[in-house]
Parts: sequence; structure tokens; C-alpha cells
Amino acid sequence: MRKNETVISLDKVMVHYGNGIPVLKNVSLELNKKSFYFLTGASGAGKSTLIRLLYMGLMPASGNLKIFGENVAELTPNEICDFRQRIGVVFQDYNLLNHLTILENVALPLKVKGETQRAREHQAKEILDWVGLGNCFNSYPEQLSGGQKQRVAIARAVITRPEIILADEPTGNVDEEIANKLMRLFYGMHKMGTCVIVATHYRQFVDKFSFSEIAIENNNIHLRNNRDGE
Amino acid sequence: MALAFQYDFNFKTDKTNKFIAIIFGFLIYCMSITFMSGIFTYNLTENWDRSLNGQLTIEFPAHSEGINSTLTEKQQNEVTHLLQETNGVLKVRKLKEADILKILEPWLKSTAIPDDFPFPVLFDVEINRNVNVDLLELTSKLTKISQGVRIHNHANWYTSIAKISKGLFGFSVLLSALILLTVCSTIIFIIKKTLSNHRDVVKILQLIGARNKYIASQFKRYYFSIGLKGAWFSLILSVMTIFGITHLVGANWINWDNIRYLGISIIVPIIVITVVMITSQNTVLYFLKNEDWLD
Repeated sequence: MRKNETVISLDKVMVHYGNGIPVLKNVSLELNKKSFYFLTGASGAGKSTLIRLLYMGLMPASGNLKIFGENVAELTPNEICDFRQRIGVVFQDYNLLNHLTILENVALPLKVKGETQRAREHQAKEILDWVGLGNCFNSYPEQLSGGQKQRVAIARAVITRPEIILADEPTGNVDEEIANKLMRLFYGMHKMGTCVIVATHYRQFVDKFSFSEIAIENNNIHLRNNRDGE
Repeated sequence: MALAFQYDFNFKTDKTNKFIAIIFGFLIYCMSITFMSGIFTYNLTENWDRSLNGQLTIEFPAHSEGINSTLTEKQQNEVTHLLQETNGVLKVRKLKEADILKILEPWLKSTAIPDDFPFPVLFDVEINRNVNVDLLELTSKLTKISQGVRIHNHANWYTSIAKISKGLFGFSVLLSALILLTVCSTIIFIIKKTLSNHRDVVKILQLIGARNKYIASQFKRYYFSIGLKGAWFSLILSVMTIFGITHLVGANWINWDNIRYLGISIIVPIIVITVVMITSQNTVLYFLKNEDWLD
């Protein structure tokens, strides 16, 4: 895959919910591999909708959405699952399974992929070390702080080495210091060649890291290359 | 190992799942017993069919009205000859006094019978089932040899018993099917509720790329373990029932019937567990397919 190969392509995409009022109108966008984008917009502007669209939890009402070069409307349910295994998603509310240990939570995507128990355990420990949680493999989510939970969520999202990371307000529940640490983890993934999209309403992050910005305003999208979309 | 098998769904939190193994156990037990009763009745009828259908018993009473003696040797030979010559008769056997004594024993309460006890003369006659023997004509011919003859045609009452027992067997099959249907309905209801309770887990699994088949396999495995627990429970109850009845009727502990019923107590749970696994998998697949879980 070339450096600037497009991993996500939206062509005149329109999205609306049951009430028929469009959330996104005629959105056209191309996102490349090895790039980092901040997704910004006021609360309710449609950031989460766009994230949901990109993990195929929602289908466009009109227009074309291509992920990894394939039109998602033509994918079978099983192909959608296979594509989702190549996308890591992080949410503000972590979405961890409370009855599983941290190690089991992080290893879950590998279990879904059918990896052996030995391989799962090895990789999960490695990734937990990377996010700085190497000392609490057998803890349960309820025993962790918000920042730690979010690091577990990030570890789970990246354990399969996804080609795209989608993060929906990942720093929303943590203080600034932890938020900076989390951003550094996303930056690390970006440096390893992953296309990272972080939805945030914190302007200071966008200004501080000066990556490209996808701004949603008035149901439409504006791409601002603060750092030439690296 | 730190990563031993763990369900992605925390089934332990579901109150509905708590007693399901015991409920399944009772239902499997009921089904096993129903099926055993059906098989028992069916076999009984089959045995009767083999031993009684196509059988006549011809009785010359010892003390009929106006007759004070049993058949003479000559009359017995005449009867035997007449029967052997009759179209459709395959075999004729005169019952010995010892055989008659065995038949009468439950009524007489004792085998110590006086030497001059007036035994009836009984002939066991096997007839070809495919030939319609004219019993009226036979009675008339036999009456000419000795008065008071009676012909007991076992086919008459066997036909009624066979109808009833086959009806009972059919009813037991129907009842078993209804129990199985109850098991399936229970699973469908519980799975619908469980999926609804664990909507967030379904969402997370779908987000990380789990296919519906993977999610369904979790339920299939869980309900297999529930079914297995129920099967053990049912097997224990069935074994207790079988040996309890064996003890009550005073039969041997180990006999072919018991082995057969134990076989049923094992086969029925296997059938139920298989149906439980198939139902749980397909129910989950149905609900996953027909609802949007990523809302």
C-alpha cells in the first residue's frame, strides 16, 4: 500500500435518522493511510454520526462510502464484520466488559478472530505494557480509574493492528494530563502507519497537535490541512 | 492460564438463567418417563400380539351343566383330530394339568390341590392369522363331541387392547413433542430477554468485528452446559425411578427392560441437548439479523 493510499472515501454522502432530517449532507471526503485527523464540531453537529458511519454502524441514505476501496453498500454482513476487524473504535464511555479482566477485555478482538489462547495472552500482555498497564492484567474495569479504563479501551482497539482507528471523544472523561497521555498513544499508532481519526470538542488539542482537521459545520464537512494531512 | 474460557456475556447476572438447569432437568425427566411409558405399552402390546394373536383356547369345563366328568381319552383324540383337520389350524396342543395349575394358581392361592380336583380340559390352538376360521361351525362340530365347549378367541379382546395401547403410545409421543416444544419456547423467551439485557455486549462484539455466528456460538455453548446439567439431573431421577419400580415389582435389577429404559434415559437428554443447542443458536441468529444492535 502506498503512503497516500485512500482508506476511506465519501462521495456525496447523505445521512439522516428516522425523522428524515439530514445530519450530514453531500459529504465528500478522502482520508489516507498513515494520516491523523481531528474531527471537530459543536455538540450535536454529527461527529458521532460520522464515526458511526465509518465503522459501518450506519449506512448512507445516499452517496457512496468506500472503505479499503470497497463500497460498503455492496458488502455482505460477514464482510462488514471482517472490515470491522481492521478498524479499531474507542468511545468516551470505554465500552469494556465488566465481568472480564483487563487482559480478557484487551484480548477479546483476537478471540473473535479465532487466535489461540496462547497468542491472545501474549499479545494482550504486550499491548497492555505499551499503554502502561502491565501491572494490572487481572484487574477488573471497576477497579481502574477513568484514564486507565480508556487506556484499556485503546489497547483493545489497537491489538489487532487496525488500519484505521476511530476515537469518539476519547478524552471526554479524563483530566488534561491523562488526555495528553492518551493523545500520545494515538500519535504512536499514527506513527506506526494507522489512519487515526479523533473526534473532540476540545479546541486546545487541535491547536496543540496541529494535525489535519475535519470540521463539521451546518451538516457539511470542511477539511483543514493544519499539517498537510500527514 | 490467565485466559481460561470465559463467556463474553455475563450470564450469571440473569435471574431467568438461575433455575433453568433444574427446569430443563424436570422437563427432560418428564419426557424420558413419558417416552419410557409409551415404549413399555407398545412393547407389551407387541408381546401380546406375538403370543396371543392367532391363538385360540378351547375349553371343555369339568363341571358344565349336566356333565360331571372330563373328556375321555377317546374324546380328546377326536377333538385333536378335528382341530388338526380344520382349515387354518397350524398347531394343536392339549394343556397338561401342571400348565392349567399355573394358570389357576392366582385364584386358588395354593398349588396343594387334591388329587381329584376337576381340571377343565384345555386345548391351545395356533391358527394362521391370514385364514378366517369359522368359529361357529367349529363350535358346532366340537359340541357334537362334548357339550359345553367354549372357544376363547384372544384376537377379539387383543384388538381392543391394541387400539388403546397404540393410542397411548401415540399420546406419549405427542406429550414428548409438547415437552420438547416447551423447552424450545422457554429457550426462545429467555434468549430474547438475555439478548435484550446484554445489548451493550452485543454492540461491543459487533464493533470489534464479531460475526453473528460467533455471538450465537456463545449462547449455544452456554445452553449446552445448562442442558448438560439438566440431563444429569434427569438421569439421576430416571435411574431412581427405574430401580424404584424394579424394586416394587420384585424383578431383577439387571434385565433387558431396565437396560433399554436406561438407554432411553440417556438418549432422550442427548436429543433434548441437541435441540437446545440448535434452537439457541438459531434464535440468537434470528434476533441479531432482525434488529439493529449498534444504535
